[in-house]
Amino acid sequence: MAHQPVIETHGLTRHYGNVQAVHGLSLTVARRQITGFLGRNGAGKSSTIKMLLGMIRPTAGTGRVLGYDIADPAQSLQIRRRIAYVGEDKGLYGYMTVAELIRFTRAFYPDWRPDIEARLLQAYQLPPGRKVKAISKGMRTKLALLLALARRPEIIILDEPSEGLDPVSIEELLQTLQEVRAGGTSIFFSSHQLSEVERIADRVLMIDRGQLVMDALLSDLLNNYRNITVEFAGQEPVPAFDLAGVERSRIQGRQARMLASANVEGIVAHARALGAVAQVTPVNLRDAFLDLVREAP
Amino acid sequence: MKTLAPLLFKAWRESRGRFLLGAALLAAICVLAVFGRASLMKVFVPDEAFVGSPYVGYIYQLVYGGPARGLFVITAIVLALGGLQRERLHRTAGFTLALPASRALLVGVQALLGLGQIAALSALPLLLLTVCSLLAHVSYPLGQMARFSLLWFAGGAAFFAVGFLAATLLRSEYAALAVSFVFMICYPIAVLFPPLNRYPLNVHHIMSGLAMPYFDAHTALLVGAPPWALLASMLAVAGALIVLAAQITKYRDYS
Amino acid sequence: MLWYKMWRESRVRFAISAVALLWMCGAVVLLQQRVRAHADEPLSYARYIWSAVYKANVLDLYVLLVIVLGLGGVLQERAQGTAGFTLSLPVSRWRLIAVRAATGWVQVALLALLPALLIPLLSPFVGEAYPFARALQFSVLWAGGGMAIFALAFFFSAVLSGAYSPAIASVAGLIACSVFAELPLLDGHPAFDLLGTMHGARLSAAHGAASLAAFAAPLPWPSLGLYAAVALCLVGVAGGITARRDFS
Repeated sequence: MAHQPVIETHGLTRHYGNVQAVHGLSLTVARRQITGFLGRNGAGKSSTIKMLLGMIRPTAGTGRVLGYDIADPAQSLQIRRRIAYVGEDKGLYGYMTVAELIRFTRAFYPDWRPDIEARLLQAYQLPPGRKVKAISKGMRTKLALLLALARRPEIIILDEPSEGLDPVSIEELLQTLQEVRAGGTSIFFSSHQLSEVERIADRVLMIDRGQLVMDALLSDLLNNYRNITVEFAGQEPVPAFDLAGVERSRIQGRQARMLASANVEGIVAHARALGAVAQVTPVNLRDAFLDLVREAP
Repeated sequence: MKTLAPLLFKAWRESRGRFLLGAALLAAICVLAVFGRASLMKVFVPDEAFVGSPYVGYIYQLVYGGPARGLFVITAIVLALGGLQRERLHRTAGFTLALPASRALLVGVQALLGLGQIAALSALPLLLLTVCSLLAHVSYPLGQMARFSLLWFAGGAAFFAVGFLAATLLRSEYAALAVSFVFMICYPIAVLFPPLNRYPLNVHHIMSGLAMPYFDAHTALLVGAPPWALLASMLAVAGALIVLAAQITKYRDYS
Repeated sequence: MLWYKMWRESRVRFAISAVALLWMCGAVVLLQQRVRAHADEPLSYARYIWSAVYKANVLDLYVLLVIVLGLGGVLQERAQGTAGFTLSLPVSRWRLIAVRAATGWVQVALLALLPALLIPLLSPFVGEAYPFARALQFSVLWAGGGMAIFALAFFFSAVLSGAYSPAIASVAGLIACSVFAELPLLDGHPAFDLLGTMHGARLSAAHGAASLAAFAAPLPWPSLGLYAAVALCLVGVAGGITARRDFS
């Protein structure tokens, strides 16, 4: 049970008319890990999250959260009882005061922790008597986090959680997420901020045009992934590097650039056998992201 | 059941401005009708317009068959608007849909509160006319008021259900209002066409009693037994429309 | 491009209103035989059109739809989170108000014109005739009154923050207006009877026409001028409120 993924999808697809927002997405999110969900704007991150929460229905494919089928309304209800969601736009009821919204949300969760609520209310300096529409976006994000954390969820799904936050608040948010993970909660969050993901994520899922393009432990990525640049001196055409371990390759003039997840020695040996000069450099998340999702020139 | 109270609170907070405004205006008409009768009665009830008590005819003309009823119907429609479509526009649909409450419950609670508000509004003239008439030393039969309240509630529920369905179907918050208003006015014309013209389907007439066998236009009084079958049918239609709205909500994507 | 924004925000409402008004006018013309046959007293076609379109059902619909067109504005945009973008445009708030009001008034006038276009055109198909000039006179009355009603809803939309409360307030305002217009105190001032002016009863009575529907008298320009002035005042006050309001 402990090794079972908290989220898994198989061939998950969502079309909006002719637009394929998500296309055959198969992914898993491991328990008690922080999983960063990366992709460009419009890559399908929010659509995927909305399908997991039952807000939109998959066009095809299946998905399970905590073992429950995301397409079944009754099971979706069970999912929502056991997870917390902080949406991209932090849309909360503006006509309620902070205290009213907390009281409102509390009523839905029997496991609500008043001690966490009180601690976060104080830590985030949220004004209980003020209307939600009158507080800043940063404060709204903190309020959304309070509502998510005080219910003691098994998973927290966050869609662009640091959007609109100042650097101090982002720092606090990242610390909070790490503390929550240490408490046994699984975290699945989408972000554009690669530095944030690099700082706290255990695992990285990368999505491009609705399809998964990378699923790796961050430590594996940093330790095992390499950029390999191969330069050819002669005039013969640059060959394709269709070798094991090559995740993505790009040819520019007399140069071939590759992102390799394994078999680095084999790839270098192959390049040298072709008379080329190979240079190997470590990768960071930014390099990998740009390599995997950037349009081919 | 523990989730019912917070959802009712949410629905109340979303609609209380409309409800209180509608109630205040309806109350103003009732109070003005009683205390301003010296000036208004001559205008609204010319001599020999009704047989019997001119005050009864006057209250009918101004409240139960007149402007107050029109305001009540419009308030009933406006109370029905909102819901998840509007929340999507206000970017709170994500928060609402992530709550561990079924969509049927979300819709049901909103409808329940709306019908409660309509019941309160339909009883408002009864309450105010009784008190004000007592203070002004005039009288309007209590039984008549109770029966009109019943007619108003059933008719208001029908209009509420139409607005509710329109708000579920249409994404633009004002389009739902426009469609509901169109229905409110066009529908009495539509029921003039056969085969509908064979049945008493004009909800406006059912509410005011106009051209109905249970209303005596000469005395402006409801007569005989209340039209239970008609009222039950209207409530059944309202219920069916609300269930349809719930089904649509259940299967809709909120992206 | 402000015009485009205002049009995009109101075009669904406008389209619904246009279709509904055309449908209603069409239904009234097509049902003429049935209704006139069941009338208590002989009813000429012109009087039937007046009583069904210009005095009653279609006028009620027009009034309600004009109220719906008047709803919206920056205060309502705040609830949707788009007020920030709108207010950051390099245009004054007065200009925003003016363009929205002008767009609305054009739509109100176009809606008022629809019966005048359809009824004379459709009448020959039921063996009747309705002069375009007469229909146009009613359209002018509707457009004049509609301008004030639109401005009333516009004003309430700038004052009341709920999306739908301005609609209730506008309906109540019209009810109050029509009740007060009946008071003996205002007997010599037909301009105060907005709805009466719109359906032409006051005009007809003032000129002593035997049939309300047969009027071909001059239009009540002073009344229409008063409505235009009231409409401008209401929009002006709404503009003043919007210009001074903080949109946090």
